[in-house]
Amino acid sequence: MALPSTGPITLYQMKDYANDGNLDSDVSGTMSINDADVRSLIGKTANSPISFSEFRGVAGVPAKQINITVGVGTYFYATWSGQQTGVTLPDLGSFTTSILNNFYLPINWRGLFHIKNSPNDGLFLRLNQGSNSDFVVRKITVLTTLGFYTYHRSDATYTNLGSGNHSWKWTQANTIFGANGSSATVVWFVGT
Amino acid sequence: MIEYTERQDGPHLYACIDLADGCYMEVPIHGIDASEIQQKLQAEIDFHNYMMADMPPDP
Repeated sequence: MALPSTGPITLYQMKDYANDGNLDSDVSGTMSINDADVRSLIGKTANSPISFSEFRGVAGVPAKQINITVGVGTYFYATWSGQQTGVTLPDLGSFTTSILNNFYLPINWRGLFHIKNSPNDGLFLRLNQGSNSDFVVRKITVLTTLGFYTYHRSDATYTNLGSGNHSWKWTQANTIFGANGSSATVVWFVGT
Repeated sequence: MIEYTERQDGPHLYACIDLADGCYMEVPIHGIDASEIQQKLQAEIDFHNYMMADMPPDP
């Protein structure tokens, strides 16, 4: 389910969708386009300029945010002969989200890398999620010192690598990560 | 010629491939001209093979 991509779109729809990823009229009270849950749908910070049109076709609700430190990726590709920048952490943790009917998803974070392999340069995400194949991640957003980036599942080449490992790769010519030691924030958007 | 099946998910179309190494791949092909699909698939498979060749075992 997503917000309308054409036709009228209302603040109530935005608030309703931000609540639980559904348009089921289960919110009430005072609401603002500057509410944190509404802004989070499009990755905007408080009091940023926001247009209603930015919410068109938005699919997925933020379910998990991690703050990470950029480093040279040596966790998985110690022998990598090309260039890579990114983040490697041993464990993303797990989360339970009401959006997926309290579906419990254990995820082991394996890394988010930018790989230089011209002409196939790309952003490469790898997770180990056990038997939960191709978990419904609608998109991820990545905020780094270089900018704000959005990657949709529908644009990714997905690979089931076996043994619970899965990868998603998006075409990305240049690295999105700042210098080693700089900060990055990844937000996972899920949806039905 | 790379053999694949298609999977439709709403407006999105994916080429589904069983790779020679046992992995399974889905490549988005919505918006891609039919004459360019094989080239796209080959590029993604090449990238996959390149990555896998350098991937140590799980920790």
